[in-house]
Formats: sequence, structure tokens, C-alpha cells
Amino acid sequence: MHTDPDHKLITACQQSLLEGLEGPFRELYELYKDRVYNVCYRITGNPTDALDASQETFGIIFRKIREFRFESKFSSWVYRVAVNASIDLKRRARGRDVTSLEALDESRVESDRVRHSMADERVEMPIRAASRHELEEEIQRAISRLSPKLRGITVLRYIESLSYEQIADSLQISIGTVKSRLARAHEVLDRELTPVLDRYYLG
Amino acid sequence: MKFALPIALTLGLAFTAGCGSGAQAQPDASPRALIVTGEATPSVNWLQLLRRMNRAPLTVPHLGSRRVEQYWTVDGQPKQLAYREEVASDGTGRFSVQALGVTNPPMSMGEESVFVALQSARAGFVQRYRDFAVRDVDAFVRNYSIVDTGALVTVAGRSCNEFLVQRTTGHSVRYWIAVDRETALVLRTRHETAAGVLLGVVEFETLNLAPNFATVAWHQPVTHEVPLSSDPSQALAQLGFEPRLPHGDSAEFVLQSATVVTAPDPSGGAPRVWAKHALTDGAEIVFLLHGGADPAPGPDDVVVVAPPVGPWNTAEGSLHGELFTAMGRVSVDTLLDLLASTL
Amino acid sequence: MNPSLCDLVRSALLEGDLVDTALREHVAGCAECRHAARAWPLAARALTELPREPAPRELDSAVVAALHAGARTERAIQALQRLARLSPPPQLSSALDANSEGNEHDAEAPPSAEVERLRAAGRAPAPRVLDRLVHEELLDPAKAHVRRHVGGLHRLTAPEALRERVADNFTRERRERAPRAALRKHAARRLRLVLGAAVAFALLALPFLSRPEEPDVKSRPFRVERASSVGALSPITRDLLNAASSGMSTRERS
Repeated sequence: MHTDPDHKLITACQQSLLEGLEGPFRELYELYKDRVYNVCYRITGNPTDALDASQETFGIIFRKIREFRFESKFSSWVYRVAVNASIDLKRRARGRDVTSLEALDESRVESDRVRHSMADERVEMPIRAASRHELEEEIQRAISRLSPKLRGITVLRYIESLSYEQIADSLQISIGTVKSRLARAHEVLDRELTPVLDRYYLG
Repeated sequence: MKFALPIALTLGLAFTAGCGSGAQAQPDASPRALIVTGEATPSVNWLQLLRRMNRAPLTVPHLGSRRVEQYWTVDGQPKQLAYREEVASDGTGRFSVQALGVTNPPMSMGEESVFVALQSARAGFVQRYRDFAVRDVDAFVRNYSIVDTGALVTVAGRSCNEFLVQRTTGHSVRYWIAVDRETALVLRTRHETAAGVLLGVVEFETLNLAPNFATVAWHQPVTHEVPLSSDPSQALAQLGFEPRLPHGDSAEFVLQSATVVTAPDPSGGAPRVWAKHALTDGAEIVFLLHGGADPAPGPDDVVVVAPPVGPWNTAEGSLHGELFTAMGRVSVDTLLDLLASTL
Repeated sequence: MNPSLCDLVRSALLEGDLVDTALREHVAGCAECRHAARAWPLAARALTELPREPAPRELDSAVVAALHAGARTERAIQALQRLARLSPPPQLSSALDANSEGNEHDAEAPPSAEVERLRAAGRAPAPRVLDRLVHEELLDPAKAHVRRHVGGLHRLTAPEALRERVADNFTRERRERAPRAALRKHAARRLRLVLGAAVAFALLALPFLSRPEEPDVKSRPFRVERASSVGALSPITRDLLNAASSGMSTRERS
């Protein structure tokens, strides 16, 4: 008995792949497109890269769906492909000099070495972020400066609201590792976000 | 199943008949003197010799020429590569390995020039990894036995002891080595399978221990490979991901070096950064490369094993969404075990 | 800082509840945990409240275009197969010739009327292998790549020398039995030895003979596939293999 809620749909896709996006794959795509795009957007940090990573994700799913054997949940695989496609896109764009937060030596922090990949290139001191929009930008900037691994876990946990078990299944790591990386992400985000969040949430 | 016993009897008859009436005589390989390490606590002299062998290539000044022969098969057809090279070491860590020319197979001048140029580019690899060496004394003592055959041989005009080195566990491999009695340099290596099939020979033809290095062009390290920091946060900054190593029982292989290698991306994108770890069991080297996130992970973890090239086996795949490669002069099983232990 | 209690506090904060009395007491007395207890829920709330970005319309068209391009390619391949084969460019012909050493026995179908027409016009039909290669490559490049390079292991055959040796041994054995009187005692002793060895061999061989004939496959947490060529390896691995083997891996393919 298959417990995967997408089992019927995936089987239909495996059998009628040549219909492209017109058949059951269209239904699968509609089911997952927002989730995939959201993950890609939050990991890459900008809409253009998110579009590329999402397209890449669906291309991979389409090419490899016939190899899927229901040994894990289909959604776990989709998330894994989306996370990896986004991370790989960022890797290919390393020329933008995005520096991982936790790799910065505190004594060597130079604000001009940290560039952002957001469409809005304004760099404001965190203490001045007042509006909701600016807060969201600050949070996204902080996410973007996490290492790829921590970024993926943070997005899956807090943006996609996946359980520890679902994250572990997607990233093929243990639940213990999920928690320890999430804790590490909090420690890293704390430095950048706490002053902003204090002001916004606590007045 | 009911036929098993009669078949076994028949096979047993044939087996014993073959043994009883004169199997083909084996060459007399009995050593005249037998000193074995790897079983009991090695003597101080043996450990001292192994340590000298470990240090000699970069601490003993020397300049010489040697011949290299490598044997492999393709579709059952034997192939051979034989060439000569000049090697030099100033005793302080600088070295040079320069191919001189190819003796087999016949090559045009153009082909030979290309070969010589390529070998020059591989000098660092040749110096560190190509040949037999005692790379880690403790691991060597755990994993190998070394037997003094009692023979004194002359190589490049130097008097040498002949030893037989064999792996005591895991994959089977055999080295007959001639070790210079004065310097502990390994002047001749004959590499065989456990069944005696020849895999390679490296032998000094000339050796000068007080050379003039005036004309030697010392090897320059390549720029696309730099040391990988042992500090996790620095390693993360270098790679963009956390490198993974085999874990579990580490008695068989120990880490010898860790570097960051930048390689072109076959899809035409930005170069990909790899963590390259060289592990040794005391003599052999296994490379474990980790390339971070697989941009196109499949639903399953898959490792692809390539056909062997001489004694070298290779396996690469996507494991838990990340790219890995393992390569070494070890068995495929050993490579697969190492890959599995990174998970 | 108490490492184990602080870890428990963080674990509880990730779960979203800090109800345990002992942990709350610890938090009250630990500055770092007090800070985390205040900051972590704030960060979690802020992250959770980030708006979900809906997929833009451009994604629909991008994916549709990519997938329909694949479907169009498939229809084009099917149409191509119905057409008579056209001659490939000269460079492709010679490249295929160079690589088709093992394929010259591909059976060619009887020429169709279309093919005959082309030949009359002075154009040679493309080799059959070209259709197969193009079909595989365009339909599914990744799968074609895997299919090309996944092959079976070579089955080794016993060398001729073994057969000769066994035959020689049996012949010698028959000759040695001829002088009966001299060999009777010897034969009885040999028979006892042979029976003893056979029993011992049978005991050893039984577990193996009762198994189905397949290689002893070790259980691993991944699937293992075999490539038929080192060309299937990634460039960095091929480079390393080339360096290790003094270029042997390249020669293997040439």
C-alpha cells in the first residue's frame, strides 16, 4: 500500500510523459509550482534566480520521474531538487561575492565586502528598518547570507513549515542533524536580526 | 541441491587428482631469511627502516633517471606503456620529475612531445602518489607485512635489500621493492597482483647522491589546488559547503592531505569547487572528492563504477544529494565502503 | 554555561515550548539561554510570517516551453524515422566510420523506394546507427547518457592452459594405473586420500553449491551501476585518473 498522497498522479506521469505539460504532469506542476518557487526564491534571494532555479527543478523532475520508485515521499524529492538547484545556481553566481555569515571572522567584518543579491540594492543600517517591507528585506538578506546548508533547512522549516521528519527525508540527513543545523542557523541569524526584530516586534 | 554431493565428490576427485600428480611447479619464492611485520610488535630496527623509507624521497638529495613500465588490459588485450624520466630532490622538499621519452608504444615525435608535456604537468601527482612508498608508518604496520627476502640486489650501481610487501587485509596487492641500504630510497618497485600478474615497474637506472642541481627546474605547485583548512568555518568559506569524510573505523585509512580543487563545470557554468582528500592505508592512496550539492539529484542514491585502468579503480555518484568520487589503487569494494561511510 | 542544559534549552526552543521547570530555572540563571529564549522565538515568528511568493506567470510559460520543446523533439524524431535517411555531413560520416568498428554487422534493412531514389540522386543513406543515436540523445539526454555507459561485467573464460593441464593430468593418471600389481597398494592409499579430500571438499562446497549462482553482493545504502567506459566519469575524475595512470585511461579509449 502506498502512503504517498501523490502516488496516482506520479504513476500517471510516468506512463504518459510524452504529453509534456498537457497531461497529468500539468496537474503535478500546478500542485508543486508555488512550493518550488517559494523555496527557490527564499534560497536564491531574488526573483530572477528563483525563476531559473524553478524551471531547472521542473526540468529535472520531468527527466527523472520515471526513476522514482516511491522509496521515499515524492514531495521530499521535489524539495531536495529545488534546494539543490537553488544552491547550485548560487554557486554559479559566486562572483557576486556573497559571504557566508558564519564564515566571517568578527574582527575582520567590513560592511563593504558584503554585497546583497536583492533587487533593491539599498543597504540600510538594521536599526533604521521600520516598515514591514524593510523588515522582510532584512530577514531575506540575513537568510541569503547563511551557508547553503543552513539556508535550505531554515527555508524548509519556517517558510514551508515542514516537520523535522519531512526535512530529514528531503535532505537525507538525521533528525538530530536537522535540529543541530537549525540551532546553528538561529545562532547565526541572531547577530544580524535581533536588533531589527527587537525594534519591530517589541517597539 | 540433491546433486550437490555427487558434484562435490566429482569436483573433489578432479581437484585431488590434479594436486596429487604433479601440479605445475611454482617458482621457488621461499625467502632465505624471514622477518615479518604486521603480526607481532615490529622490532625497533624495522620501525626505524620504515620511518627512513617514509622520509627519504624528500630528505635525501639525489638526481637520477629511472624507467617506468605500466601494464593494463583493455577487453582482454594487454597494453603497455614504458617511458623514462629524470627525478631530482634537493633534500629540503624541492623536487623535480621530468619525462625524458617513451620507449613503448612507438610514438611520433609530436605524440611524444605531448606526452612529455603532460607528464611534466603531472609531476606533483607523480612525486606524491604514483609509486609505492611508505606513506604513513603506523598505518603501514597495521595493514601490511614486509618480508626481507634475504637477497642483495644491485640497482643503479647501489647495493639494495630486497623486500616483499603485501597487504594483510582487504584487497590483495604485492610489491617487490629494492631499498638502498644506505639511504633507504626505494630504487626499484615491481607491482603485482596477488596472483602474480605484473602491473608496473619503476626502476632507477642511474643515481647520483651528490649531484649538481644547476640545471634542474624545480616543480612549482599548481594554482588551482590549495590546502583546505582544518578549521570547519574556514573550510566552509573556502568550499561553500561542509566537506564530508569517511567516519567509523578509521584504522584502515588515515587522512594524508586535504586540498581545495577548482575544476571546470562540464555544463559550461562557473567552475566547481571540490574538497579533495587523500587517504592512505600506509602505502596506497585513495582520493575522496566531495563536490557539494548535486545540481540534478535523482530520486535514488547511485554510484557508478568505471572499468579499472591498470590497478586504479574509480567510483563516483550522487549520495544524499551531493557529489562524490572515490579513486585509488584499491578494490572496488574498498571504494564503495569508503563512500558509504561518508553518509 | 552548562553545556547539556543549554543544549536542552535550545532543543526546547526549537520545539516551541519551554515548559520544563528545571529548564526554566536554568534559563533564569543563564544569560546566554535567557537571550536565546527571547531571540529565537522572535526569529522563528519573523521567518514564518514572511509572505509566500506565488510562482509568477513567467514560470508557467518557461516550463511549458521547455517541456513542449521536449515533446516537439519527440514528434520530430518520430517523423524523422518515417523519412528516408539523408546523407550526414562528411565530418559526421568519417567520425561514425571511425567509431563503428564493432557495428559493421548491424543488419541493414532492404532499401526502400525512397532510399533507392536518394542513391540514384548520388546521396548515400545515413547509417542506421545515426537514427538510434539521435533518438536517444534528444529524447532523454540524461537517460541516454546512463544507458550508454551502463553495461554488464565481462565474463571471464578459463584460459586454454587450464584445459590442457587438466587433460594432461587425467592422461598421466590413466598411464600410471596401468601396471596393476605395482600400483594396487598405491591406488588404495590414493583412493582413501581422494575420498577423504572429496568429503572435506563437499563439506566446504555445499554452502556455495546450494546458493543461486550470483555474485556475493554486499548490502549498501546506494545502488551500484557499472559503466562500460571511463568516458562516463566527470572531468575532474578523468583528469585525476589520467594523472595516476600516466594517460593510460585516455589510451584505453583510443
